Amino acid sequence: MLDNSALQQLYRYALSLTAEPAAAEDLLQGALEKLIAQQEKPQQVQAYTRRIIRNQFIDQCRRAKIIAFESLQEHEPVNMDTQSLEELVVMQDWVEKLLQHLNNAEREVLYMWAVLEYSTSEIAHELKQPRGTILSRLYRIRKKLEQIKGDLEENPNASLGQDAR
Amino acid sequence: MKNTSIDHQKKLLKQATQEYYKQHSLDAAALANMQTLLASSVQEERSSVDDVPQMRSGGRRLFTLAMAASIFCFVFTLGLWFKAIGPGAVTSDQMVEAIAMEVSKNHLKMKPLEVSSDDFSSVRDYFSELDFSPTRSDYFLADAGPMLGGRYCSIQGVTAAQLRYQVQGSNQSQSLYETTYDIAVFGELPVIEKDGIPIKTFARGLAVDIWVEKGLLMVSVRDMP
Repeated sequence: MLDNSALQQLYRYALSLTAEPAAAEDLLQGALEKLIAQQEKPQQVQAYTRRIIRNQFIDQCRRAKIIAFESLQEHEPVNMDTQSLEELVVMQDWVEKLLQHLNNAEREVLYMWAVLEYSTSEIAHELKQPRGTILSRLYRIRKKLEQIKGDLEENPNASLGQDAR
Repeated sequence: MKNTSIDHQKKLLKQATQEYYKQHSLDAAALANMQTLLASSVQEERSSVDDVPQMRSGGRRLFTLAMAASIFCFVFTLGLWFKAIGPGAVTSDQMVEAIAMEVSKNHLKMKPLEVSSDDFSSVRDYFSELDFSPTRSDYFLADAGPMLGGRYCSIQGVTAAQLRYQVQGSNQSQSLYETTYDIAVFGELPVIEKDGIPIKTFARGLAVDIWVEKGLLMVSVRDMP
């Protein structure tokens, strides 16, 4: 049903949501338990399991009264050029700093764009959200990355604290 | 396992993100546990597929008649089957093991309580998002100490309440998990009201009891004495 490679990918997706390895493992375990309880197995098991993971994460946040995903800000631009994101060059350790500054929704979109290599349309389809919302999140990711880059260039020895979760 | 060496090379954001996530993986033990969980589901599917007879076209009419007779027998025995849930009822060993492994793992993690109280009504009122009402278990409370509180959890993907109690005469705690009993999900389990005897098993060095009471699946977990 799901080989080790698929399980690792699902774990990393869960990690993009939770930002915590133990929580990601729990989330994946819970999703697999729900999957095997299904009477009819879905055609695309991996994508289906990703949806279970996401829904479970949202449920957990709701119970803990945490806002899982921020609503789209009205003033956010929606005509972002994704090509500029494709051409962005970074140092490897900037990624961890960037993820510490992203919220759940932004980490999720970054994961789907970079690791699953989905187009913005594919991400919008999977998350059942408008393409404009996805573009805005990618725009915010780029802005935060530019801020990190600027801060590091100003003060190379600075350690950046966590911002959004 | 994190990469501790410093990579001074500049690379595309996409590539750098991919490499970041590749450094984060499930360890071998976690992978094995998950594959075991998936394998238990595949094994059940194969058993049901193997039971389907392979028929040539000439035998289809006979097969259809046989299927009709089978369906009639199945419906007739279904009523008897429901009456058979009681002492000595046949249980799904794999489901019992899966439940025991899951609750023992959760018990060992000792995640923080979402509601802390020694008053059962207060704890029950916290669980507003369940499709059942947590209830006192006559079987469990016979040996339990004061209530400590509760938190949401799940059993085999079904949302459940985890109630934590102090062990009588000890500083240790024990957990009682409650959720709606769905025979389609959990299989046949002993029902206390029908003189069923709780299943006693062990997982991860813990004692686990599984039973059905007041319409709820109940699972208790405690340290071995």
